[in-house]
Amino acid sequence: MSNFPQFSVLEEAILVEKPEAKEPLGILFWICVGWIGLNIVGALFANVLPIENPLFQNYSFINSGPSLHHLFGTDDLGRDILARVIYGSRVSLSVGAGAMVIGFGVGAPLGMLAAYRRGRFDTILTNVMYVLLAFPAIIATIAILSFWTPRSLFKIIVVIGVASIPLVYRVIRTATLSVATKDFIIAAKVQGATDRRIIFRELTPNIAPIAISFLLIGVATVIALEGALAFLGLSVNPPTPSWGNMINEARTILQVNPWLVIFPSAALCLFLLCLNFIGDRLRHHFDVTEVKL
Amino acid sequence: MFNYILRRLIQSFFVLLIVMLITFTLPYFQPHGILTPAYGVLGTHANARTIAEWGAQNGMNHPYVVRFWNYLDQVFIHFNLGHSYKQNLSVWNIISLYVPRTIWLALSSLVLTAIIGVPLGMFQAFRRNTVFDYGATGTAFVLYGVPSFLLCLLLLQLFTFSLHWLPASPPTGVAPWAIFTDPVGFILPVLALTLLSLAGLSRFMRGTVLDVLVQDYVRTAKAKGCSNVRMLFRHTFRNALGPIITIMGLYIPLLISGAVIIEDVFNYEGLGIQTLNAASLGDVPTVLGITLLTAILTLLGNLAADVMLGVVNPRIRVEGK
Repeated sequence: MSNFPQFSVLEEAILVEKPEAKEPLGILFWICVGWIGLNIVGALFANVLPIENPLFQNYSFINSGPSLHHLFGTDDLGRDILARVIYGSRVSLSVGAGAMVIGFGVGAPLGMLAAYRRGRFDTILTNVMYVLLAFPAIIATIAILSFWTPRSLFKIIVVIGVASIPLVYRVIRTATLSVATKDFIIAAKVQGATDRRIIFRELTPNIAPIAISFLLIGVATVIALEGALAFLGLSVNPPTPSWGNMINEARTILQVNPWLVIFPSAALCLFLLCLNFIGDRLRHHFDVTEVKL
Repeated sequence: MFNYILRRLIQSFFVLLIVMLITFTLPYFQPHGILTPAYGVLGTHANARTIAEWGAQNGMNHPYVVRFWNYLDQVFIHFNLGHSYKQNLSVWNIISLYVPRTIWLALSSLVLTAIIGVPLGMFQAFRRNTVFDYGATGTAFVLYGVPSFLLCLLLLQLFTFSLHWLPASPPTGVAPWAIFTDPVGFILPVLALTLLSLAGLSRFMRGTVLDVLVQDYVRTAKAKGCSNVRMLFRHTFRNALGPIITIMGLYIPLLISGAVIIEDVFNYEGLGIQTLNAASLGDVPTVLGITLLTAILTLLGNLAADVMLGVVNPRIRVEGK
């Protein structure tokens, strides 16, 4: 479609009007990004890294503390905790990534469409989503996983991903609503832009910052949910290591070998805190006000 | 106001119907569909004929719609949440003893969270960007980010194993009033649940109060020589109350989720432990019964919050008429 020159001027004027006094992201932000990156690299290349097999049981080194041979020590079956922590990150990372792909894949388009179209479609969908949102996620996931047996990582990702759809929907819908009533959208409509163009060229770039900062917090939320499921013994089956099930297996022998709980807990906590911190900083950076309920 | 409550009640009823449709439909997705329990009940006697017979005896041969109608009748008229074939007990029998205990846990945490979180958030907003505010915001941020089960383990390690101050779990047994007769054992679970929800609430409270504090009428009040206490409680608090009540209503599902973890860590006999036991046994009717009960509790919580919102905010009442 043709682009009227006066429209692009108008659009620019609106863009320029925004105050550009953004504070820098800060050194802590980049440390967090680095830590997340390190975790991702570790999870991807766990096979290649010079670490032991996480399932190898060495009975002459049981419950040993950190040493040069086993930097994080060994567990009650003589398995290397460092290797298990690194391999364990794979479960958390795939749940975080997979569930958010499902959540954003379904929730984001629905949220945008609902906020853009409004009308009955929006009313019904929003009410349904609020019903789902009002429900305790952990009870729902336990209920579904209890008979969708046998449990596997894939099923856990699907269940958590579906559970995150209403959350994503709400955030994206609210974000779109705040943009969809702005003048430049109305200008584009008056100009005769197609719905497709408005959604992809006008709406999407404007809600992307909100979506990205929420994405990180969403990843942290689903990883914490998977951790909770694993802690309750309802996630991937042992011996596959995950941070949650390592903590679960070790909590009964916490007094005997505290390292066994400390290292996976530290890994999980640091990862979640970094994700939350990055998300929070980005939200401030893009000047997104907290989504009001 | 009456119309408003009525409208919300009808809405909640429809939501409940949707939830029931889901809990009713889920068993169809089991390996053998709704006849799955027959294989457990009949054991070695299971063959095509006996299974069909068993299905007929338990009303499972009816069409989907008829069965759903029977299910509604069973839940609404007979208050029967289903039958657990694994334990050969009605689901309500299995969980009824534990419902009050979980409600006590959640309620006492909710009250404590409100009592501590609301003033804390207000004070943070009032003294914003001071050392106190940064400290509290930082603590809340860490508490918010740390998974609940780790916080529980940490509290357990600190207060029970290191300091020997508090017992690791509340007294066993199901007396719902044990929280008053023997409160020491309940301190840790309630504390853990309170800390978990406190982080979110104080953060939310700070933001809400900040929004109100920048309003013109607050500045006017200050300019007229209004004292800080009066400014905070008469002008700010009343206007921040609406969002707080809404968020407190939304805390009920959060508290129930938190209760699952906390009951597991502190061995607190409640709905959460029952859910986990049923889930690990593969006792689907019990899991779904608890799910339905949770939905009802959640809806009641939201309804209560909405009604309260109508009480404190006249605009909503008028809109409802």
